[in-house]
Amino acid sequence: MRGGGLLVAIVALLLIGGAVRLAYIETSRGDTLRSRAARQQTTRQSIPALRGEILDTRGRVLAGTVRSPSVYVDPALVADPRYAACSLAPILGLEAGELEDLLREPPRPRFVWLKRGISGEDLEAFEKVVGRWHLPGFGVQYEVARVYPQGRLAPHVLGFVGVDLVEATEITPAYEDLRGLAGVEEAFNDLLTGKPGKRTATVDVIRRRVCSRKAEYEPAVDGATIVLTIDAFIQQITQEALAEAFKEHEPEWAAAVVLDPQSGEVLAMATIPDFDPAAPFPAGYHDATEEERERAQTTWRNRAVADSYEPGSIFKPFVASCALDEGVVALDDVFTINGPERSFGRRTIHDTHAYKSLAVHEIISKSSNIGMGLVGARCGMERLNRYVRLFGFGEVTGVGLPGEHSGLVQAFSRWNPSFSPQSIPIGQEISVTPIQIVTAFSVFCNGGVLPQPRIVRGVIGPDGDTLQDCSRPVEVRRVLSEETAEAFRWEALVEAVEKGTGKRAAVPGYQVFGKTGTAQVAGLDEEGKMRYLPGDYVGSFVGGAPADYPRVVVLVSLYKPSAGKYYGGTVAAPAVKEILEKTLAYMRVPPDLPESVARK
Amino acid sequence: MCGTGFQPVILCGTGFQPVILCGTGFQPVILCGTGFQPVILCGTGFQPVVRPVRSPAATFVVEELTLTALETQPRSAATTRRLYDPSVVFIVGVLMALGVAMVYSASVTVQGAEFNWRQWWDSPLKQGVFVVAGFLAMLFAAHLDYRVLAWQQRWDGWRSGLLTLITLGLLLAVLLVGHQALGARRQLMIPGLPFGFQPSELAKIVLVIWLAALLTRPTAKTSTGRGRFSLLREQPSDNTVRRGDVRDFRTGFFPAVLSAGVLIGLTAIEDFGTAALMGVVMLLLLIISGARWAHLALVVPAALAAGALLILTKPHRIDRIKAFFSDTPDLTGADYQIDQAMLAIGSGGWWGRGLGAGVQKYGYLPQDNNDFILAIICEELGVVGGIVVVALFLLLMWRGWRIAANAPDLFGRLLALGLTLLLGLQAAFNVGVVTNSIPTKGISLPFVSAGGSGVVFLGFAVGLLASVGRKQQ
Repeated sequence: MRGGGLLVAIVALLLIGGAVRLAYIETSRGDTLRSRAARQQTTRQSIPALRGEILDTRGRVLAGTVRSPSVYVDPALVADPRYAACSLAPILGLEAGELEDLLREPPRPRFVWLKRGISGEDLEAFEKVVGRWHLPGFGVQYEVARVYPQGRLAPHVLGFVGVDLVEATEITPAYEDLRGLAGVEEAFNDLLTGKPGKRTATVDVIRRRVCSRKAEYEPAVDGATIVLTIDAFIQQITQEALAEAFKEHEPEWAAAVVLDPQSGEVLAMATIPDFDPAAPFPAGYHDATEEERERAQTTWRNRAVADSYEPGSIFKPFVASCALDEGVVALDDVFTINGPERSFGRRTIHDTHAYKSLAVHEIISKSSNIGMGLVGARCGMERLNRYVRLFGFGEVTGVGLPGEHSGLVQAFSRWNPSFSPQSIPIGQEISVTPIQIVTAFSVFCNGGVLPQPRIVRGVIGPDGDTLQDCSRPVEVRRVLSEETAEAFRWEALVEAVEKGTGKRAAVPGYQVFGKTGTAQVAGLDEEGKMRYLPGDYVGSFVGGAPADYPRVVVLVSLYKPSAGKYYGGTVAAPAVKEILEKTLAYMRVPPDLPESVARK
Repeated sequence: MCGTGFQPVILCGTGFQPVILCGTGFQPVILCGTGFQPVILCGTGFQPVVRPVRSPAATFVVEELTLTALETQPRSAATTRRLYDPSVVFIVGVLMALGVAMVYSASVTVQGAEFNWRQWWDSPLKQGVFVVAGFLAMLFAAHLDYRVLAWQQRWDGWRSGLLTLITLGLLLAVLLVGHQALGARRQLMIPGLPFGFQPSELAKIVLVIWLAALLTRPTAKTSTGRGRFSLLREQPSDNTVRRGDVRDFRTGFFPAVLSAGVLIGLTAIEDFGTAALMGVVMLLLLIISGARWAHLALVVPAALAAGALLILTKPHRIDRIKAFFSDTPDLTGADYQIDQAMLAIGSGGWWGRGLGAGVQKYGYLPQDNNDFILAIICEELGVVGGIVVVALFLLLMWRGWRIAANAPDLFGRLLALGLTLLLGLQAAFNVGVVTNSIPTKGISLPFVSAGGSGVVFLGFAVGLLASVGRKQQ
């Protein structure tokens, strides 16, 4: 036979060529092919970590995270659109016809949300129907949502979150994440976020899990829980009182801070106008004009820590008490006033009433500007500068909230000898924040020590272990001797409420002490010059109770009240009274005065 | 699956169901994992032993199966008389067993919670039944005397002729009432049975039988009665060409080409790949039988022209050719299948992911249990597994060549060569397609790919080959 063997050999060589080609594919492209195959055959799913909760000091949930189920469909996988539409439309609250149209014409991308945030009952019904009739293409996705069960309680302290799209990396897929954008949510974002887990599984060509191959699973680590010093009840009291004052006096904004002077814990912190932390962006925010956006953004400002203003008379006790402590003056030293106005060099200072002469405690209780000018003159600039800084003004308190302002205290070299000795004692030339005022005022209540104000008590890990414990009081420094602090509180500050400008802050049954403040607001006038604007004031009152062992210190400030009244003793003191009265009752502080005394 | 005279040792893992068919005389030993009941059909006289094994060493590895089986000794080296050559039966048995395992593995899909018998029938059981049928067809053909198909007397070519006519009828029938699948009409549905019958698989065997018979038929003016092959035997000294000799165009060459051409042409309408294979086999048989080069030179351009015409009438064939020669692969279109085959080969590495552990079969690779079964073998058993399969075909070709060389007559020699070349070429085509060496066309891997007609008819063909290998004292 002609060439039979040769032809068989040629065909055999072709086969051998095929085998060689197989080996060649493996050696030349094996790794590339393997990694491409692995990419197409595996699916990676991220498991979101639950964002940690924010609790109040008694464990009430102020901010929490829920996994809310949402129903979606991939229309391309739906086998019988009419049947599926008719079975599911009533459960999902959709029109059967519309749903059918949607299923018939798959949009791009094919993933469509049918109902976001479905209720538990509806979800159960949905899963029953899908399970019983084997409807392909429908699914449930759990989305993470941040909830604030107390509503608009302490929104400025809590802050709010935004949704962040975390880009996919080589190892993790893209996922949506909550990111704190303000308040505690922002300051403790890293602790609250936790660590997302992931699941890697082998899937078939239409992404169904292949059970014969092992799935890799890395569980998510949930975020930590932040426990605040805020007490939801006191916060509620504070917000209500502040809202009442806001309604009555129509200021540009109002802020209140309630502090435990013994420990430095912030019990409440409120600002009006406020916002809903669950929906910080008002409807239409993203299409709004720049102006409207700024208006929304101003409601996010936590004025109690982020805004500073000239404190006015409320600042007098800080200067006077230091002078007392150093023996520059004594409480009973009498100064000749000869009001209602008096010039100090090139500057004239006014009092609201014409006093002839006042003792130092009367200067405080009656809030005499001329008297404080005289005290300031006796102290001199070096001492004043030292006193101001001793009380912590001009630097942030470190309360633990983002965006805290340090206030403004001029560098000593820039002080003006002809103005500063009189301006500083009456709270001008200086700007302070509400949190600085209450903190400094605590010095009179706890034996002369400046406490570290705190808003976070501790951090609890996802397993219940304590990550951070901040519950111990921290002393910043001693400011006054214990005797001076006691004496000043009893002689000057109690008198201010009993007989002086702060009478409206008196609470039946408790010995309240405090100080009013009515500061002018500087601004640009019509000619563009910086000066005090007529009619613009900040009315404040800072006070505490009970006087023999102060448990609470409260500051209320109303910025530019526009309803006619503006004196701190008129606009702010009643709100402080309201807060003190209810807070003391809530804290079960025993009354220290017989009813009759208070009533007098 | 094994012929008489060998003792199979089968190791298999849990979850697979071995089917063992063996000849008389030896005792198969089966070690298998828990959970499946082996099916054993064996000759009389011995009791099969089934021992459950739980050790990890009992993992089912097809290469091991092959090697173990090859090392066993034939019963007696001194046998001088035998009905057929058992070696090809054995090699094909191994390939068929591998085919059942791989088709079972490749047919897996992700299913819902419910089990239904229809799914099960559609994959492993069906192929198992086909393979049993194919093996029985092979044993049947091996026990036949292949000479019943020869054309040795003046009028005894009628058996081959009848076979050819029946095949032509079936090819015509499939064109008229065939079952459409995957865009081609290739199957005749058998009433009452859940599977079809593919006449093109029969056609390629019949082509070889018919040509072998026709080309070795008695030539005119021969006085000695037995059929002889004119070219090599008794070279006529006067150099005249006898009537009916293939070298004679009118009486020898033309009838052969015409009859084969009709067979190939009818096949080509719906099954281009098989027709191309048949064309090449026809050409090789003509060369071997001594056709004049000048005559052959006439046929080749005509065949190429016919092939080109067939390609141009079907758009998907043009696409496949374009895709093969294009520089920029279209991975979502025409190149998708071959690209997925490459991913399967690549993801197996040298040693594979393990039997059953492939992933490309989960819908990524189309035709994974059929034309592209080799890609799945490479993924699960590695490139080494793929090379072992190729080696089995080489072994088969070597045995086929030995049988042809020792054939007692010319018909047997041409038949053995033709069948050997057919099997080798089909395997080579399939390997070429899977390795992206030639454009994609529907050619299955003999004995291994899913499908009943191929296994049964190719089994029958190998039976004939074994029958040619008979030895008589």
